Amino acid sequence: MLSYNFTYELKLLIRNKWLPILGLLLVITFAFAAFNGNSRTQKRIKEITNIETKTELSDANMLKLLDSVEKGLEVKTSFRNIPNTPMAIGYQHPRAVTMTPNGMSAIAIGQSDIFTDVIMPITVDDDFGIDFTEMTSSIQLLFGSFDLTFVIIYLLPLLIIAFSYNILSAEKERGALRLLASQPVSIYKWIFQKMLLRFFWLSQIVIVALVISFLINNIDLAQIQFIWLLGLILVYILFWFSLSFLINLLGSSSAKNAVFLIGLWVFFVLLIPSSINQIAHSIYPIPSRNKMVNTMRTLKVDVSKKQDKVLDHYLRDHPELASKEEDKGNYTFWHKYMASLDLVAQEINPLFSLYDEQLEAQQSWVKKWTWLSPSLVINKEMNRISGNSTADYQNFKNQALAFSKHWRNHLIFMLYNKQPFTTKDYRTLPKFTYKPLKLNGIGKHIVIELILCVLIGLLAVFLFKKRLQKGIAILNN
Amino acid sequence: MIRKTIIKELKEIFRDGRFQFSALLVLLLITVAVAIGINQYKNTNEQYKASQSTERNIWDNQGEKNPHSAAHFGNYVFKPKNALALLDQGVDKYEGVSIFLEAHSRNEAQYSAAGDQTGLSRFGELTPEFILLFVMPLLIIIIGYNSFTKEKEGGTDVLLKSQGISNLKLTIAKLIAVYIPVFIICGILFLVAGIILSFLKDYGAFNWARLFSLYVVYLLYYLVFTQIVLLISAITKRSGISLVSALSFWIISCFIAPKTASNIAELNYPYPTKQTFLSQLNQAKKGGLNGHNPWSKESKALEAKLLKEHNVSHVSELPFNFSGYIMQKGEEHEAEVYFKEYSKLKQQFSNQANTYKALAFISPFLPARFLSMGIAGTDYESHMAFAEAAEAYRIKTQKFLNDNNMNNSKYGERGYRADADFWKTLPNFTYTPVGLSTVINHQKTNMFLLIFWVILSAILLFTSTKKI
Repeated sequence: MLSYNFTYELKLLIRNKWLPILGLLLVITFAFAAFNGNSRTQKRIKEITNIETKTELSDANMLKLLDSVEKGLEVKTSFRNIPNTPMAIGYQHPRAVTMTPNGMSAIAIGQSDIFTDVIMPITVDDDFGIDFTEMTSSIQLLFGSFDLTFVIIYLLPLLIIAFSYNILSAEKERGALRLLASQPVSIYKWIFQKMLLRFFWLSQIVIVALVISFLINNIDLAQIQFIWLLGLILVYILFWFSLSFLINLLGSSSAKNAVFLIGLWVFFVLLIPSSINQIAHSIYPIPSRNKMVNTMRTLKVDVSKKQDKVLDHYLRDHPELASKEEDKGNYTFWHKYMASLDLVAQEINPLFSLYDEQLEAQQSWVKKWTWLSPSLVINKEMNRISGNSTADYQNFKNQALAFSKHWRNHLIFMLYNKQPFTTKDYRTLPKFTYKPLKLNGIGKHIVIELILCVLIGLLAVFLFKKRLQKGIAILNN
Repeated sequence: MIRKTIIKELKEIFRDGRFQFSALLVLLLITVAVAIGINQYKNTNEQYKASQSTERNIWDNQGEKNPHSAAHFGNYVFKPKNALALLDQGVDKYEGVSIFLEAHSRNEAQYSAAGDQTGLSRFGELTPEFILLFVMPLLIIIIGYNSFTKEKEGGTDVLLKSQGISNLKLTIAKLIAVYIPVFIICGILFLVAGIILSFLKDYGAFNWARLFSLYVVYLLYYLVFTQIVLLISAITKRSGISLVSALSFWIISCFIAPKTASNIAELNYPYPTKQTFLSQLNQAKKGGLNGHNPWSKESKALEAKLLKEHNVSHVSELPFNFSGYIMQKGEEHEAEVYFKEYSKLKQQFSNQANTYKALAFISPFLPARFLSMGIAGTDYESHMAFAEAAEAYRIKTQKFLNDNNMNNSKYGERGYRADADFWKTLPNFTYTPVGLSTVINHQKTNMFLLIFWVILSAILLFTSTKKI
């Protein structure tokens, strides 16, 4: 029977012009989406390369200048620009702290339009003064991007619904079901086979569309992440087919089936995410940023009032930095400034980390409830693969801040040791390398979703058999 | 006959389980969304007031200080929340809420709500505008998709015709019947919102005219959807096909079109990245006067010009302090640089806005979206107006401080401090949101586009129902 069904379905699909239209539609949307994701990625890579080249150039100039100064040659620049003090380096020659997009970055814009991948912390910055936001038109942020995640999470289910909502009901409405009933096959087996075949064909088309869109946009296919992506997409397609199977078995008319399935789509794709989101905000509200500004300002005023004492306190806490007896009191503006910066940071850091803590609390709450909607699970996993999720940017932020601190301490140590900055010191300057988050547990999510699909299928069969036992004639309603 | 048809249709709609369920769901969602919105609105408003007065207090009580130190200490201004943000938050969430005003630099607004949220928030939030813009059209589809197809499927179209009703009258009656539920739900929502807002204390820029204009925009938007849904129902044979087609229209208008438009806009008129923008600014600033560098070529030229004007041989003989003067001139140069660079950005934004308008022909959602946030005062233009008011205030503040330095200190004097009371004489920052008539004037094209959609869909509907 499967082979009959197979040839019949194939003939039907081809004659219907469904396959080519669907195929073409999918290839176009996938290619456009991948193109959008890829242009964003390329823009980011270009930006990072730009900054790195600029830094290299400026470093080369600095080294030349330094070399001349060390050789006792005369240099034509204002004394402020001579890079022979640690503070001049810290202020005028920041390192580029960058987060290079990974090879799969094109599949999801994620948070990459809100946050920047490049910061250049200077020693006079407060850590909380570092701005991690990117410059994007707020309309674009509001509308979001047409990327592969959008196509897969939002649009693919709708195509599946359009492709399968009336498998049983159309037969009924056309009157072909009576003919079928005369055949020795149970109805749910027959629908199951039909569904399976449609799943098979749609998956083939999606895989081909995905591969084409990757090839067109020069995205590397030969990476393990691509397999994970395929697994996620296929299980997501299967999820929607299993829902459609359920509705087909239990539903009645084509229109009613479509309404039910669209209702499920609205529920899983729109309502659950926005509700979880809203609840997360209500349980873990982010404290007012305005209030934080007020507190920060008050602190700065306090610190500036006791400016003279600040350095004493600072040196008491950092005895390793205090200069020897004979140069006591020989401190410059920089010493005082860096000390007061440290004091403000100490006071304000707890307040500052409150935001990260609340955000993390929100995130773990959201994580706890994402299983409610497979759309959310797949979205989350795709974002993780792309390396553009909130967690990835949070990770970059933490590493960047740690580096900024390290960089500052490195130079402050030289400042207090009254060390001039030399060509030799350049080699020992701290360097930043971004360490991406580990990508594990995707297989687990795929298996869980797969089990969910099987459960939905079993539930459908169970409910259908129950209806048959109750004597509800499938043919007549 | 029209009246009877309307009554019959309405009875059928209200009896339908799917309508009852979805209407109930919509009402429930709206109630939750408005309740959350009011709460948020109250909190932000209180916080805004508190922050503003605290900040002013900090500024006033700086004590004796050099005016330029005060200029670097700077001040913060906070963005007030517009009353109608309760119904449409627009881009508010993506724009910062406070701007730090300091010497030499124009800063971007900081701390957008989106920066403090999880990635999930990009899926959308349960806000009134989410329901108004996305869910209500869906409700229209559920009410109207089978309006004509059910007659065809049930064979009642023949019966209807035998009653002598003209197709035009039938279409008008069906249109009114499908429109009424949405008209009522939307009306209740706006009325409740209006009453709540006028009872809230310090409701800021709220007025009924704005609310009413917003209501009209949504009514037009829903009229387009109702007409399109009926059109699809009239030209298809089966309810299932009609439903799927109407839903495709919904998906294309509300999801695909805006996202595609945003990608096309970015592709053709890209925004600079933050680092590029900053380095362009620094480059432009370098080429001119810097108040902290009296040795530069530009400063020397200015000095020579000034000496000649006042007919003196050294800057110390000028009737004012040269350092204060050059600081102010440097500030003016920098302000000009910022103005130029931000004008470029604004130009890029307006190019992007034109892309959205050009693509409005594939989606009535786009003009409605822009009109809605424009009227609610939560669009990008409103944010820009605030940022520009802040910048104007920053320039004024810098002049206020530099003038004090220029007129009260002597050349070469170190450690000059202005009186502790001096800070209090700085005028307060005031910002009046853009008025309704300006908004409407500004949104003319979008208004026209939305009305164009109404007319187009009406023509299509009535010509296609001539022969059913």
